[in-house]
Amino acid sequence: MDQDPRVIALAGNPNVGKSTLFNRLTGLRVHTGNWAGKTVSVARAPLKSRSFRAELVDLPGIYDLAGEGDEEEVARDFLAFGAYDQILAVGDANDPIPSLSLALSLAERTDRVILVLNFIDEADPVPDANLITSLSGIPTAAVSARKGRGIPELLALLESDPRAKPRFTLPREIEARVSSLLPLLPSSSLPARYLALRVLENDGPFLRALSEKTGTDLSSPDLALAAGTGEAPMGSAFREELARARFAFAGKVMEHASSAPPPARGKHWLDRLLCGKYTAYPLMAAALFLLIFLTAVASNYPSALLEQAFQAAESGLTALLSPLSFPEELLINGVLRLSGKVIAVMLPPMAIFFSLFTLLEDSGYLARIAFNLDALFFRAGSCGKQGLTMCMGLGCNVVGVSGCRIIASPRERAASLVTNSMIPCNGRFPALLAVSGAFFAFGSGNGAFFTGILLLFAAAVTLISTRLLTLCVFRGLPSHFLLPLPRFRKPEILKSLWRTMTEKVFSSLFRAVTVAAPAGAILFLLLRFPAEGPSLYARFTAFLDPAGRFFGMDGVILAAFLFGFPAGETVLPLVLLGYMGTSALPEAGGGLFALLSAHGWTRATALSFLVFTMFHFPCAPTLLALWRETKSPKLLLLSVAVPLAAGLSLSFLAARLPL
Amino acid sequence: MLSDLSRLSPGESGTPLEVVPSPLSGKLLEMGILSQPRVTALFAAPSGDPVAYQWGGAVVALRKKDARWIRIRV
Repeated sequence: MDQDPRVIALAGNPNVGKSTLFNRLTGLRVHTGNWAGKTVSVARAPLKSRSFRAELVDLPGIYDLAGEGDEEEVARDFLAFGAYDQILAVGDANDPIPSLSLALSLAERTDRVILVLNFIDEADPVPDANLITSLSGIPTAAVSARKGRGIPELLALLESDPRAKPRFTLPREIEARVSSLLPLLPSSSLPARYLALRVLENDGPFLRALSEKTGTDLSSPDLALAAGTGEAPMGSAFREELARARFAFAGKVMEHASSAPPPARGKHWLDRLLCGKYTAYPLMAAALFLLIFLTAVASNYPSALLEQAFQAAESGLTALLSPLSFPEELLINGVLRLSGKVIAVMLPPMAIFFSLFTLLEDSGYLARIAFNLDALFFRAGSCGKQGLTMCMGLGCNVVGVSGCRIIASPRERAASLVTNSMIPCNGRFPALLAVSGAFFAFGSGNGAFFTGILLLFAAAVTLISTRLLTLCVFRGLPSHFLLPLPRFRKPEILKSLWRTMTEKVFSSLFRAVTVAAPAGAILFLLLRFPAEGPSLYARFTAFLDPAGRFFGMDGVILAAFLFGFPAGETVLPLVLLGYMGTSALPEAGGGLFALLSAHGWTRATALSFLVFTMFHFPCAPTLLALWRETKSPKLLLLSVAVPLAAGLSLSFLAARLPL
Repeated sequence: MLSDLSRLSPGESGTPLEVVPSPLSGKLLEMGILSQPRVTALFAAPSGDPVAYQWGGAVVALRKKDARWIRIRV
């Protein structure tokens, strides 16, 4: 019989290894999708089992760092209203009480709840799953998702499809109030007790979502009157009491289920080192340097290979189809050429940068970096997590922008979103390095040192802009900061690599190519027409020339930035193309200084160009990401206006420096 | 003696009594802060703020201005 697969949701507190378990149970066949119009990706994949069909849903997406903000909202929304049949409440066997408490609260919603305690390879003592099951009434499995221990037992448990019969009873006084509410509730697809508890908690967001999604309105005056009788606590006080009761019950269960209490974590020697007063900053600087250096060095070779491959494909196709008809030429010399350029320049550095970044994340260091940086960012009106999104921006601003989800409070999140493109991404690095090397080598022979200075400058401008934005535009609620510091863990390189490629690299690349392909076609047409006299592109650069000169550059440079809108890595090649007038995208080779000087570049021009490379408008994929994340025209406008204003004014000044 | 979490120096600990309602309080309750017998200040960031606190098996960083809202007995 072919029936619909059972949908199993994975829920859990942050840092309990949900994604590892997800990958273990599904055999790494992850594909991501969006849910309910929200952009936070929820991974779905079929369960790897021969005996029954099920689909696993991993809530929520990219960063299990904070578990706050939009992501958590999505997870909560899904758990309340989503279409699923069963929940796995995933928890850390080292710290089982919060997970059992979570499982108890989920059991209010459905009786198909299973508690999964992960990391039994690290736990001492290992909690006894059978004992927890019989004491709490919640079916429990103990696993190590990383090592694969306990997975067959979990699958068997899933197949037997047990029902939770929580032995947790509400305090008598709460129970009485729940019972008095039950007859007043309208009928609903959700369990009545579950609704009664939310009414007593006065859970505003939930009640609003309930009436929007199911039409069940629980705001009737009768209900409020019945809920609020006497001196009994309501709202947050009720919530506090309920949480206390669940935790007390969970604590008792775990006390009986473990032979000894879990040892306190205490201060790890790595914390002493990584967050130490004198060691923290040098180590962060070293990590950042290593990250950039490894990315820059290691991506050269695969980038060159890819570029050769695309060139070979282009000339091969040209030879094969020769003579080229006009549409063929448009596709090959326009679309394929620009898309190939974007892939070749973007793919290797992104893959390397974000794999390393994921390693830092999985090891637990990233959370410490946010912890160390928080005071600095707090002074700029933001929080330490912005530092992480800026680092992601170094890899790719699209990822930096979606990374802003880890920031819980709306004000900081908005400021981080708007300023993210002011950190130059991998795609802009080659231009910074090449032009710095040509004009500001200072005897060292390359532009690395000056590029480093530029990066620090970009970070400073980002912080200043953030401060101004939080002072003038995003005022409002003062925000809070709550950051769980995960246990240090040896990262698993292959899994990190896989996760990086599927979650960040391929999707970003795909978006870049979808923008680059039509841009390549337009550029090709502008360069080809009219057949006689200067091309449309040349006329366009001439038109922009006065504006360009005003800001220390020229028309060719401004046009390059405009046509580099699909992908920042094309700007410098477009500048060279503008000067040489050929219809191919040339290489930024050794004769760069000579070529640019011949077209009137001085050190002041170079500096203006460098500054404008760092601060202009976000590239098209980044703007699309901003739109997906915020759906706010105001934020989109600010994201263009703020960097552009900074870039134009700083370029104007740079051009007038006595260099 | 009654105090609040922000006054603990690294290494000191206290018994949590109450979380004053604030945007953070719900999250803190969910993390079980009031069900733990002891909360310990573990270590501070290089500049002294925020501070990492431990309760049960969790280590969580809070700014001092937010830690003020957690009443404790020392």
